[in-house]
Amino acid sequence: MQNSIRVERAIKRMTQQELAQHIGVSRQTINAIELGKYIPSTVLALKIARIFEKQVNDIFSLDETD
Amino acid sequence: MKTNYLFPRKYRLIGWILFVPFACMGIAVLCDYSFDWNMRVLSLLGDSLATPFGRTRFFHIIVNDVADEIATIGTIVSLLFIAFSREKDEDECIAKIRGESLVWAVIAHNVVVILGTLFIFDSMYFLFLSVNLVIGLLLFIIKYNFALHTFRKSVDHAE
Repeated sequence: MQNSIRVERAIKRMTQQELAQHIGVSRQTINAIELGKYIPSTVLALKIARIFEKQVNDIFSLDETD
Repeated sequence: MKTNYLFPRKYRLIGWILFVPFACMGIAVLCDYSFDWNMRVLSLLGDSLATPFGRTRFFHIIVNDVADEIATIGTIVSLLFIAFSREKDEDECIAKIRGESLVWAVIAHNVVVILGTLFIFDSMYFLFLSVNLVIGLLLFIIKYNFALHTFRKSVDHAE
């Protein structure tokens, strides 16, 4: 699964730490999601989408391996 | 997602403080050191060596050195505290690492049991089974902490 969290953060001028605090996870988890090392739960994906005021589909998308 | 069965974070330190003396006591018991903490205890199931073939006996009072029971229970409880305390930054990613480590530990533990059954015999097998009581938890603690350390190291750089 791919995601555009890094781009969305840049648009909002938000650090990984700030995003992590908003959704109640560690900064390492945000980094792991951005690097594709961890696939977030649906609840976490919805929280991230809400922070960026977008739909989950706008931020997360399937890739060929899924 | 709110329900989990983890202990509060401070239990990890308590676990380590308890583990050291209880583990030492357990090793002493395994090395046949006698504490002589004899007392009357309820035996739900036991056998009498006084009778031929060690007849099984249910629900009776016996006199027993309780040092091995105390060492076993103390070691297991302290390892449970170490293994299943919350992390400072507990979240779903850490829960996933914990779950994967648990699967690995259960499989590895049973491989150890199978190998022990195949290659250890006589009174050494009884010794192996005694140590085996804590091998599963020890394997989990080692695997989980290694996996967590590797994960944190790989994602520690801020971007």
